[in-house]
Amino acid sequence: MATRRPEGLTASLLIGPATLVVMLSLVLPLALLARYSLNKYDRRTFMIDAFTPENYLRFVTDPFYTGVLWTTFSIAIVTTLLCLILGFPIAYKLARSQTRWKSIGVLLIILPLFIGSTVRALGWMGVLGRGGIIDAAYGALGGSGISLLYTSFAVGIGILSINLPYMILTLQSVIEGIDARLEEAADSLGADPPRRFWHVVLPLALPGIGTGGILVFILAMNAYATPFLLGGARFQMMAPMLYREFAVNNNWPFAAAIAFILMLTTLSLTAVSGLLVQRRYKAQ
Amino acid sequence: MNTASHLRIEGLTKIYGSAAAVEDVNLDVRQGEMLVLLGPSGCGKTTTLRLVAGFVAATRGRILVEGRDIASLPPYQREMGMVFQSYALFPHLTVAQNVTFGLRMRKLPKAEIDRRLEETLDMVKLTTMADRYPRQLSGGQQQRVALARALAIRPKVLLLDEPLSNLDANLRQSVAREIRQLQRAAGLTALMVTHDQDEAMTMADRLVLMNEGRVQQVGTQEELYEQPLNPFVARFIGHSNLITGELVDADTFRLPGGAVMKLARSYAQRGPHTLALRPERVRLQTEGDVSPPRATARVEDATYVGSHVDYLLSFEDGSSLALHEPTGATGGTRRAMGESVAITWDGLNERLFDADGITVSAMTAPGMTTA
Repeated sequence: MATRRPEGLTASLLIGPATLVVMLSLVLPLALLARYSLNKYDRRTFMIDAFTPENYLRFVTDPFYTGVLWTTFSIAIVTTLLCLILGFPIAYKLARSQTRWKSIGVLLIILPLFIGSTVRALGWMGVLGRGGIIDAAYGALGGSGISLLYTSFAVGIGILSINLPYMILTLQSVIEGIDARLEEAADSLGADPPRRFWHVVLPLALPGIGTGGILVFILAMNAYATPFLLGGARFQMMAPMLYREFAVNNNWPFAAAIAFILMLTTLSLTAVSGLLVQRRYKAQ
Repeated sequence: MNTASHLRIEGLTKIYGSAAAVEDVNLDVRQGEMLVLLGPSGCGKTTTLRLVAGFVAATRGRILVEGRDIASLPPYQREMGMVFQSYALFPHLTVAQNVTFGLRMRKLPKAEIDRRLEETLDMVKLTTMADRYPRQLSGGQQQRVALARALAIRPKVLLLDEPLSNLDANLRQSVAREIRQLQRAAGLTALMVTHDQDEAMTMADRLVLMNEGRVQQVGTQEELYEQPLNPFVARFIGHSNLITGELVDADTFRLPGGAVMKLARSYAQRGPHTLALRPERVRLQTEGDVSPPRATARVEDATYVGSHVDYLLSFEDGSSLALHEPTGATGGTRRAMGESVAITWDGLNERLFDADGITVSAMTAPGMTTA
């Protein structure tokens, strides 16, 4: 009689390769980065082995750096909320539509994702910059030249335009999972559209709102090309600043510390919001 | 029962693109009456219900409740209590929150809401389930919550969309009876949709049979069964053999193959007609039968099913006829296959329709004793 291989062994053999890839490509570099962040920076040799918290201390004690983190957080929160407010009606309309316009609508939402964020940021430069579309239109109306480029507004609108499709697609699939009969039931029980939304659609869409919100929040926190191109030198966000420390200043230990601060901030905010959504959902 | 019409539908029409889903439907539902819309799928019965509920906007027509046209009102102002086929209970709310949803939307005082909740849950015997979530209930309990939720708002009209179709077969009868009791006790005017004939027969005060967006016949169970207005009704309610042939004289009906039937009644019309005969209203002619033999056929198949023998007979031209012979009279004997048999029926059980499907009435009616 053939002996059966223990199931645990088969499972670990199957999971093995994937685990190896994750270890090599994610855990190892992170561990290395964590190690770097505790090293010392030196002008000539760039990095000296050490075991010091001074990179982290430098970040949290310098108002410039904490200011950049605060700016990044504000931009991420504002764009996430705007994504939600602007995306929900579109996602709802798409989810409840049953005509052939639906697939056209979905295609229109997906289409911008085919174009890289750098190219789209360049497009916004053409719209917002001096001599751009808005400037020209303003001039034609008799105003003197304006440039909206290199402002938080420009960065916000750039990130918003990039993140909106992700939000809409996430919400659309969640709303499609809400039985339309539930809305009709609310309707027949006397709930007008605002109250139907508040008492039925919103609570049931909450998990999707959480998922979509976390997704675009992470994307906004880590945005690189958009703040780099639309924010310019004066407007600082975490990812471009990290890159400059790493590539321009060659300060790998400090760049590694910034990377960890950004990652931990994003992770903890995500975890907190996830818990809040879960609690609110369970409470119902 | 108050005979005043409580819900009145006039010329109701819904056109999608170029096709009419519902065409010129006219109905009167009396106060406290249960009217059941019956028909095959796609006949327009559900669309009619959704038009009344307000989920679908009518192309034409009026919907009057207590004399007031509500056709242009949004659903949330119509005060219709709807029970959905899938129940559509709010999954994030408890039984109590589901039942009081409509009351909270109406901003009733807390005391009144509590009073009605208790009263309604008591009615559907779910008092102990108030704090459960819908997913923790059985199908039958969910159905009762759906009903309670609709009843709690004291609706002007109760709308039921296939309320029994998601229940186990052995639950259906008791739930059907329960719905009827509650509806009668509350004196509610109700409109129900079903594709199931037995369900319709059990629940209805009166039935509306629909096909292809149009009302085919409105009437009591007896009226639809005994006096179908057209071949569709004859075939859909119960079963009818529909035999096409030609009236060659007052009481001679000739089948395409040349076989001849002697009809029980006499008719003035001539030409192509359809004869409708119910299997249980046709019998094998025996000596001493009050009626003469009306046709001869061959036994193709005979199945003993207990209460009756299920015969499949055929005529010369190949057209067939189902016949149910009660077993009590014959002691359970059945005729052999291939045997030639004489069949007969009484005048009351003979329905004749012309080529347009319109009922043809007899000139004289021997033995007719309609009340």
